[in-house]
Amino acid sequence: MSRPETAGARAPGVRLIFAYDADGIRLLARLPGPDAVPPGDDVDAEPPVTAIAAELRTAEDVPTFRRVVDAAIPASVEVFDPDTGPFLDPRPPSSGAFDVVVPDDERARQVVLLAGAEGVPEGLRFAPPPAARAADRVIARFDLRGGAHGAG
Amino acid sequence: MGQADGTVVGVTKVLDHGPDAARWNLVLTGDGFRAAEQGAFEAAVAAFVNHLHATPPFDEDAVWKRVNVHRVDVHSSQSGADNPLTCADGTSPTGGAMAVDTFYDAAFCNDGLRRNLQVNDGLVLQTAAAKVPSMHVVVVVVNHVQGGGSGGKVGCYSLHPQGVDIAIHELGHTAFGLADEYEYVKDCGTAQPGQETYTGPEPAEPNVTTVFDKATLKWRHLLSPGHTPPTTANADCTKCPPQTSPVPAATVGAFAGARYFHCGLYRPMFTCKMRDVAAPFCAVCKDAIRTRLASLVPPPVPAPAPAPQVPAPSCFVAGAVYRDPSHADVEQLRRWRDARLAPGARGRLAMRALAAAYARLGPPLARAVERSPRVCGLLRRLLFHPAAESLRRRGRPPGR
Repeated sequence: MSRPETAGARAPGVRLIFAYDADGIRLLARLPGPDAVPPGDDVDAEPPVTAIAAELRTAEDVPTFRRVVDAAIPASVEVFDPDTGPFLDPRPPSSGAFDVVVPDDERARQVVLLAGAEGVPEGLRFAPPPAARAADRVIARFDLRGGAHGAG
Repeated sequence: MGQADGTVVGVTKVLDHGPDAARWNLVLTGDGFRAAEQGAFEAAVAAFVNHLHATPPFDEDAVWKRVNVHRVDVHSSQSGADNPLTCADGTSPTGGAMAVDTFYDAAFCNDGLRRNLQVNDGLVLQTAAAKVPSMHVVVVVVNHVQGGGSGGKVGCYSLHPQGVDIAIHELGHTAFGLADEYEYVKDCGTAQPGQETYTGPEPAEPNVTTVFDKATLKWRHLLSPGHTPPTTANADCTKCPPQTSPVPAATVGAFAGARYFHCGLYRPMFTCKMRDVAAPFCAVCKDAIRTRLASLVPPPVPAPAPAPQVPAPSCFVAGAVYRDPSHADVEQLRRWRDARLAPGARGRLAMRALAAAYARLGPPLARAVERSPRVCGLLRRLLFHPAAESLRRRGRPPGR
C-alpha cells in the first residue's frame, strides 16, 4: 500500500468534472472544492475492475495523489418504471459525466485517468483493449496548468 | 437547448445542521421549472427532505444531524421535459408529447425507453458544485408527472408520486455504495440468458454477497439470532427465486437472488429499498449508510461513545424483541453498553463481566423470546423502549 506523502494532506480541494461520449472524454471544469480533501487512494494498486482512477502527476509523471471513482462510466443504466419497478438497461449511456475532488497541489502538472479492467464499457471509442495491462489503460491526460475551466 | 435556456438563480440551505465542511452535503436542483413555478420546486424539495427524514436510518439524530441539504434554484425558459410522441419501446407519453427548452435538457425516452429520464449530467455537476463547493451528491427533480428516472453519478426523478422513493434509492447507490438487490435485469417474466448464476468475484458492495457462511458473512453482526444462512435457495436458476419469504419479514439472513442474478448472489433481507423502491432500507443497508456517513463527517452533538476495546456481543435480546437489530432503540442501548465498555469508563470491569455472561446467555434467551410476539411486545413497551428513551434524554445537552 503506497500513498505519496501529500496524498493525505487536508489541503484545499479542487473539483474536476469530466464529461464523456462515444468519441472521447474531456475535462469539462475545474472548480473550487471543499476546504479539506480526504486521504487519497493507493497509487500503486490496480484500479478496481469497474472504476476509473484520477491521478495528479508532476512534470516528471510521478503520481502525487489518486482518487478512485467506482462506475464513473457505467456499463448500464438503471431505469425506473412505476408499473414494474426498477430495471436495468444493459447498455452503457451514450454520454455522461463524473467528478473527483483532489488537493490543490502546486506540483501537479496534469491529471491522468486510468481505467480498471472493465472501467470503460466496450463500444466507447476510448476503451482500452480488453487485455491491456494496467500501465496501458491510461484513457486520458489533461494539462492542469493550461488555464482554468469552469462554470459560473 | 441547454444552458442558454434558463438561469441559475441562487442557492438556499434548506437543512442546516452545521458548517458544510463538517457535514454531508446533499444538493437538490430542478429542471423544467419556470420562474413562476419556483413555489412548486420549493414544495418538491421540501417533500423530498421530509420523506428522507422519515426514512430510517435518516430518522435517527446521529444520522440526520450529519446532513445538510442545499437547494440550487434554476429557472428554465419552458416548463416540463422533452417527451417524444413515439419511443422505441412502443409506449405513449403521459399528458401528450412535449418538446421544451430547459436548462438541464431533461428528456424522457433515452435509448428508446420511455421511462429513461435523463439530464445533462455535466451541466448539473458544474452548476451544483459552483454553488456548493462541499457538495457530496446532487439529485435533479424534473417538473413532469410522468413516472421515470435514472441513476448514475447524477440521479434524476420526476414529480410522479413514486419519485422521491426513486431518488432515495438512487442515493443508496451514488452516496452510499449500495448494490441493487433485485435478481433480474428487465423483470422476472423475461428470460435473461447470462443472468442465471453469478460467477464473478465477491462484490464490493456491503449488501450483496457470494459467501453466506455464518462465520464470514459480511453482515454477520446483524444476522437474526439463531439463524443459519442461507435463508432461501433457488432450485431453478433459469428463473427468479420464489417471490414469497418463508421467514418473518424482519429476518436478517442470506436470501438467494440479488444484483440482477437469479443465483450465486445473496441479499440480507427479503425486501429492501434497494430491491423495491417503496420499501424501507433493510438492516444491512441502514448500517452501511450510518457507517458511510460516520466516515465522511465528524460526529454531531451529542458525540457517540468511543469504540470499545473488547469485542462486544450483539444486542441479542433487544434485537429479537424489535425484530430489527438496527432499530433506533437497539442502537441506543448498544451505544450505552459500548460506552460502559470503553477504557476508563465507570464500572467497566463489572460491565465486561456482564457482557461476557450475556454473550453466552443472550442467544438462547433471544430465541426463546422471539417465539412469542406477545412477550416481545411487552418487553418492548415496558422495558427496552423506556430504557432507550431515558438514555436519550440523559444524552441530550442541557437546554434542548
